[in-house]
Amino acid sequence: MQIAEREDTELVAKCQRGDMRAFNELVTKYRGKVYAMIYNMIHNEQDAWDLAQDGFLKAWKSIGRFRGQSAFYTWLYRIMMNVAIDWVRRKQITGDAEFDEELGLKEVEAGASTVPQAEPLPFEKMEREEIRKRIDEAVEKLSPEHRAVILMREMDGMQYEEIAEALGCSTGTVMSRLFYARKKLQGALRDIYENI
Amino acid sequence: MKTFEEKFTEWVDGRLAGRELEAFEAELSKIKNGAAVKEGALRLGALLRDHYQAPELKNADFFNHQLMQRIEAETAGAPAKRAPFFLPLPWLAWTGAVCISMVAAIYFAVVPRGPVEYSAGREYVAQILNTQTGDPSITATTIHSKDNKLTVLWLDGLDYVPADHERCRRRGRRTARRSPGLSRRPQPHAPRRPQATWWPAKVPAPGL
Repeated sequence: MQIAEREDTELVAKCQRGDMRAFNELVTKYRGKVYAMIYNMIHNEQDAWDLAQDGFLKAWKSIGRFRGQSAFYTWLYRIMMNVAIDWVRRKQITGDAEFDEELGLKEVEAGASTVPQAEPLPFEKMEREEIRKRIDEAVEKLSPEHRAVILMREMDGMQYEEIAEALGCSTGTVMSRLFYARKKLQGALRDIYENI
Repeated sequence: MKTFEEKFTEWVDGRLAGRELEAFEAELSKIKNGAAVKEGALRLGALLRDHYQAPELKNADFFNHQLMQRIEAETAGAPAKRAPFFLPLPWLAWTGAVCISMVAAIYFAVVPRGPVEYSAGREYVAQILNTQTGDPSITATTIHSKDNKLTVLWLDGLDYVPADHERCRRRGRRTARRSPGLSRRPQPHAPRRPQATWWPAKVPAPGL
């Protein structure tokens, strides 16, 4: 067991005894990843914040049932993914899931760890925004399950087994979903990645 | 047995090795643009990692603060769930049934029945209030049996039978002879033996 996982196990054990400070540490550790994952699923900062809160609250309520059969973050991802997938499904049913152009054009926060430190030139910035918008549109067209698989694999670098545990399905299903998700995205974004 | 899609995905992600890899690449050589599709998948992954990063979580400390407040509120609200204000449904049903039973019992015990109901009954007991005697220990009660067409006067507390009661007594004996079973003697456990009359067995003695 890796050091990070051992730390998680100790913190989880404290949480199971009702230690909220231990849970606070776990939240601090995973809030960034969780928020980013949910944001990429739903493309809305405020909703991503709320869903991340709901997900952590659910995790706290059910942490007593966590038996350590998987890594904590896999278990946490499963809760978060369920929250996000439910939200996407509800929005698709109510017809509110259309792409919001303002959100797509929103500038990535300066100083964010994922953004290069140097300020991009105006045309580069426009280009990045345009690319982001195109990716958002393509991802919007995927089913919630395909979105989840491609994001966990490509953005978080998770293994098939971890994704399968997080989504509660077989590794075969994960590979199959990944195949079709990639195929759809390739069809939508080929002109971009071939010209960069 | 893995499907083509599963093997292709593993191949793109570099998870195929040995004979499995050789077999799949042999299979793939029959497919047009197989290598190009793999190249495209790898470039797609790179594109997503470079251009699809989510913004950083703003006000991260407030995120924790708000979450901890919600957890505390939920934790504080938990005992209220264990002791709800309203009783659960079975308890309400039982309580209602007990209340109805109590009301019914009080009604039948306290509320006097009307004369119509008494006249319809088989026996009729009445307390005589005016006995014209100064001794409060002397009581008089009449008992009417509708089936036997008989009214009995029960006097208690008398040391002797008044002379004017002899006529009632003789009349009662004549009536009793017409009704078999009414000539029995009074119950032996009566606290004070009746002085002025006999007692029919079918009619319960008041106050015994």
